[in-house]
Amino acid sequence: MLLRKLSMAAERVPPRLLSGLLALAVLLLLVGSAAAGRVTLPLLAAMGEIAAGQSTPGSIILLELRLPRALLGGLVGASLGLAGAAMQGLLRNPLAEPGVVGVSGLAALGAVVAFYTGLSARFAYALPLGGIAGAFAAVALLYALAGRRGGLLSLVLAGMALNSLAGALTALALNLSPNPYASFEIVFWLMGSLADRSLFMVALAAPPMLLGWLLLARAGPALDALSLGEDTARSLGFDLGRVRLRIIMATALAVGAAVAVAGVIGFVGLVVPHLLRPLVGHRPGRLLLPSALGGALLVLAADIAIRLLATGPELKLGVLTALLGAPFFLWLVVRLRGEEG
Amino acid sequence: MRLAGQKLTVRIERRALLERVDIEAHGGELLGLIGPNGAGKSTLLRVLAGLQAVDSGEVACDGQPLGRLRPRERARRIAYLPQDGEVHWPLQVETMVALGRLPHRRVWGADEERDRTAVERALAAAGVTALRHRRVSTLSGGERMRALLARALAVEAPVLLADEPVAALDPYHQLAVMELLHAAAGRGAAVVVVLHDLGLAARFCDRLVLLHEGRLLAAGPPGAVLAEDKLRHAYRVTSLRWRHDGRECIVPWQRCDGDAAAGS
Repeated sequence: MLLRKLSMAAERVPPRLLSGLLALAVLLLLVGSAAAGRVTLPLLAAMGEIAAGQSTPGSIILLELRLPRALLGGLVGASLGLAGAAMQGLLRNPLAEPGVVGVSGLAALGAVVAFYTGLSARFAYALPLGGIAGAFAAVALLYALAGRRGGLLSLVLAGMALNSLAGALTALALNLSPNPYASFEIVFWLMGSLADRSLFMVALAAPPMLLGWLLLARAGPALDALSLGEDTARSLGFDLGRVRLRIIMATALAVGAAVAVAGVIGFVGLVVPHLLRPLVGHRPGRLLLPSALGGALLVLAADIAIRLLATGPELKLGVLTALLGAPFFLWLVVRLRGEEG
Repeated sequence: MRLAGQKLTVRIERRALLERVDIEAHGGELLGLIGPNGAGKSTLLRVLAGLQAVDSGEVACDGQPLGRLRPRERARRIAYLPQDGEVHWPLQVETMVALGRLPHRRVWGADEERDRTAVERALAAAGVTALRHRRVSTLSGGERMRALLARALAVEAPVLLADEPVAALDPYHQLAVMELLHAAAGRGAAVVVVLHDLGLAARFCDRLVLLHEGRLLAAGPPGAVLAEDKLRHAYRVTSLRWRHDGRECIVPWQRCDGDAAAGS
């Protein structure tokens, strides 16, 4: 009873306040991410050195290691959180998450193929493009298999099929790899990490991600309308064909680019929208911006945590989010099954 | 306001769901759409709402073909309440009803006074103001239907189309919903409602349209449309009928085809 009262009260949090607080936290963690690591950087000094054009250890660490890592954490997290919220709104299903339903898996496959065929060596953009192509195929297939009626079971089954497909084809690629080191590298990359990425990677991934965000920025009202089903949404003046295509494209752009540079970081798009949904009155359209910010927050925090945790070899980010996210997913499935009766 | 469909034909895999159906709905009138299962009532309603493409024929809203209206403009003129009434997230009644204002709002627009008052009017008209903070998922069948109806009323469109809004309700709520639709017509809207209950159709509707196997069998005042021979032909039932307060009263009584004869 108390919990219900609390959640009802939480729905009256003004949306601007919520997003403002989340944005502030993201900014703080961006700074924290730039500072955190084996050596704690005196940030201001390092920034001064960069501004002065000096090449000191501090400025090099900041510019070539920490800055890209922090920026990618924010970009990748926001993309995953946003994509999760958008997919859940489109499919009207709280379990739709890029990692869980195979979108990240197929995006990874796309990137692996780009890597494998040597395309990415000749043309750097082939990597994110491969990821985006894989993600697009996945979301489109998912919608075709489970999008119309929004049933829980059909979505999970479709996701399982896509995940298996992605797994099988990726395994095939690794299996046929002529160079064991290359496949070793791919396996590690698949685990998902933001470590040792360059600013070039940021420049590679940021444009498609931003384009995806931009496409989703106007999708809010349509997602709200879709919570009443497709016919009602259309009767409220939304051209569903265009809405669908826009959201599928946007998700593919954001997730594909994120996976191409950071590997598979699962469950962000599941946990974040789920936790924030009550705070926006369960409206799928209102959930988009907070989910993007929350996703950035979660990934930045997790990425700082693995640097601070003294595990032998650094824990991979994707491993940590999976360790936290999988039990959450399990709990959610049990709860939703209870609701479905 | 006048919503008119002419020679509406819908075919799916060469089977005709609707065959050259003419229909007209006028402002201030409650029009009942009746007919046995599979007669094409819901299809016709979706065509009128602009949700279902036709193979031939045309629907016009005050003389303007629906197909030429932008979706948003169409949405402001025609509110549609589907049969299943799905609500996918645990939305509060108030939030769900406010979705009816989407055709009037800009993408980034905040709540405008006009939208807020429209939502209040709709909540009050449907008698769900007291339920405004309840989650739709926790409502009873009758409450839920009234809340969904409030969502459709919140559009404040001159045309309201409702697909079997009373099908799953107890008699009290059936009457409540029919009164609501009647009141909406009284306020000037053209209301078209798909009904299975012939008694309610006779009691509340100003005019009826009877469909049978995708064709128009009869249209006109309830007394004429619900004539015994037409019901036998369309529904294969006999009926009891009498008049009360100048209104036709009707209760389906007995099946009257080969099956019924064999059974008795």
